[in-house]
Amino acid sequence: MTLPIKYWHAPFDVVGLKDQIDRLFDGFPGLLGDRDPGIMEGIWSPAIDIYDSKDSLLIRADVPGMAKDDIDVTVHNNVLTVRGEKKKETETKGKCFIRQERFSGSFNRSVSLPSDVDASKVSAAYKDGVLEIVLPKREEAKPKQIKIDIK
Amino acid sequence: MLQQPQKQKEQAAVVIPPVNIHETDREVTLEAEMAGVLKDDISIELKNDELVISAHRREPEIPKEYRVVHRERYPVEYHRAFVLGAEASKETISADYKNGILTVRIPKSEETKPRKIAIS
Repeated sequence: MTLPIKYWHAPFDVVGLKDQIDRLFDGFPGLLGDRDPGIMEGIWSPAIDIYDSKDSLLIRADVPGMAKDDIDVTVHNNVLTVRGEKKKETETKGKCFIRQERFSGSFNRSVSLPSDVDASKVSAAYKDGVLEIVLPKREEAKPKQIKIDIK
Repeated sequence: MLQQPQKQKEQAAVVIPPVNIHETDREVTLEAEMAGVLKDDISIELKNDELVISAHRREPEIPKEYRVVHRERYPVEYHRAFVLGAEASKETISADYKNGILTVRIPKSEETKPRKIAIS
């Protein structure tokens, strides 16, 4: 006997709802619009995505408003660290601040890497406020197809 | 007649971008932080006295050989509105997007700039 295939429709988007609740809290200070620099200062760190393939690892981080040279990417003991400083603008004569909501100060974020990453071949690019880091894997660590003769 | 079920749109969270605004004698500069947006997906509109900036941050393109291990960056709808004062020269507003920052320059109109008056 075959069962007819039925699609089940959730009464509402359960997964989406969970995402939205998670994001609500992630973005909480932003949603308020008026960030309180007092409590936000010093605790900002960039949001990151990590993707994996058999040849390399790809990491993207949101670090808007940086100069390329002010971002520091290091790999040490299998830990990738992205560090930087968002420079604080200073009020000068003839230029006054009306609002200052953007984070300024130093930040860092570290990610443990799998042991097969080749630290000497890491490359990074910065575009539209997004830092993209490619971490190639070592040749010998790549999965190999081994042919086994069955006798 | 049968109605086609509405395709569920990808729901992007609405985020109010943090801004820095500073002012000089000549202009007001507004910098909004919106990382990872394409220039073409940014819109700046002027409705009467209201300057509305909005942008759509797309679902990131992931090269197909990769699989997602960890995610924190999502599609976002950036939206924020500002009311301009009478001194804003609306015709000459300019904007650019660089390194994830949208900068909008709102010059002040000639007649409101402080003028030095010579004493005869």
